[in-house]
This record gives sequence, structure tokens and C-alpha cells, in this order.
Amino acid sequence: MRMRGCLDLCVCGLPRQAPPHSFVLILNVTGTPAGAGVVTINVVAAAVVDNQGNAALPLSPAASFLLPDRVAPTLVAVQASKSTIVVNASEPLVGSGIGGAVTGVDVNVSLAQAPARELVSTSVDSLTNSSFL
Amino acid sequence: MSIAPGTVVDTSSKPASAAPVTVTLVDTAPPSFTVQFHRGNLSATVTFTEPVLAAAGGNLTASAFGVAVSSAVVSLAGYTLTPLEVRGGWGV
Repeated sequence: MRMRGCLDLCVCGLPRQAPPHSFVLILNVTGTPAGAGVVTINVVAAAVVDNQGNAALPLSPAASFLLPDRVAPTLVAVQASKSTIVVNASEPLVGSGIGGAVTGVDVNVSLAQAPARELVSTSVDSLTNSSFL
Repeated sequence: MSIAPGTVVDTSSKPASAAPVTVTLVDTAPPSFTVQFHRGNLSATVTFTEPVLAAAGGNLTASAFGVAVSSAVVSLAGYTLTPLEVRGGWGV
């Protein structure tokens, strides 16, 4: 008579492994989120139980979260004069200044054609979000 | 649970046994859960207070969860579920 394999004998006394507590839901989305969308997550009623058959109750309201903003801001120069360029951005911007202010070091300005005067410095004089309201 | 010695007798005055009696309470509490959303990779960790199964039997699948996206520029193509953690055991 052949003996059973060692592995069979070794595992007989081990406790039955419990199902997991935690899960990862990975969302597959189409399109690029722009920070305005909302995702809601819940369990389906009576779909999840413990080992006694007690059903997990859906959250009320469902868990909801803002989708991230994956759209880069775009800049559009809308008005230029001798020494000033008014720039509109597609969304509020954050720069390297105090409180996230956009400052002169955040902006590169160059002259495409050789001017009579050189570009000495640039600065950001004012910033308004009024166009986003 | 036990009876204090000598405090309970039958009709013949014989004292009841003081040996403790053990009763296992039935778990009637439903599992609850929390959801943590990870904006970086568009995933969420769902953590239950105890091990859970699909009500129909077997391991949980993505169909046990309802996920919806409300956005003008993004639509939900689907979602997958992966077990993250196994703790302890339920005994033999």
C-alpha cells in the first residue's frame, strides 16, 4: 500500500483560512478627469455577508469622492502692450510664491526678434480668478 | 454562566451544580466597511470589519459593489476587485 504524500499530511491540521477583510477596487475609466467628476462606491444590498450570513449594509449615502484633475492648464495671451501681457489661464494656477502665488520666476518671457531694447526682467503684477467664476 | 453555590435547590433540597455553563453567542452584527479612495491611480480600498463572502457563496467579486462615475468628460468602463489582505482563520 502506498502512503499518502507528505504535503497532504502536513496541511490537515491547519486552520481554514478566512476570507479577506480588505479589497482593492480598480476603476477603468475613459476620458481624462478634470477635477469636477464624482465617483460613488457602495456594496450591493444583500450581496456581501459574514460567516454567519449577516449581510453588510450599504452605506447611506454611498461613499463619494472627487475625481482628480488630470487636465493641464493652458495659457492664452489675450492682450499685449509695450510692457504688459495679460494672460488668461484655463483654470486657477498655483505658483512658487507665498501661498502658491504665481510670481515672475514662474514665467518665462523671451523676445522672438532682436529688439532695440533687451528684456531686463519680468514680474507678475496681479492675479485674478475672476474669469473662472 | 454559573449558579452561586448553595443558592438554588430542587424540591428535595439538593443543591444545583455550581459548575459553569458556557454558551457561545451567535454573531448577529452585520459587517460594516469603510472606503478609501486613491486619486492617484483611481482605485479604492474597501475594508470590512470582519471576513466576508459573497452572499451567493464563494469569494467576493466586483459585482458585489456598485460603482458609478458622475462626470461630463469621464465614463466608467468597468472595475475589478482584488483581495488585499487575509487575517487569521476561522478554525478547522
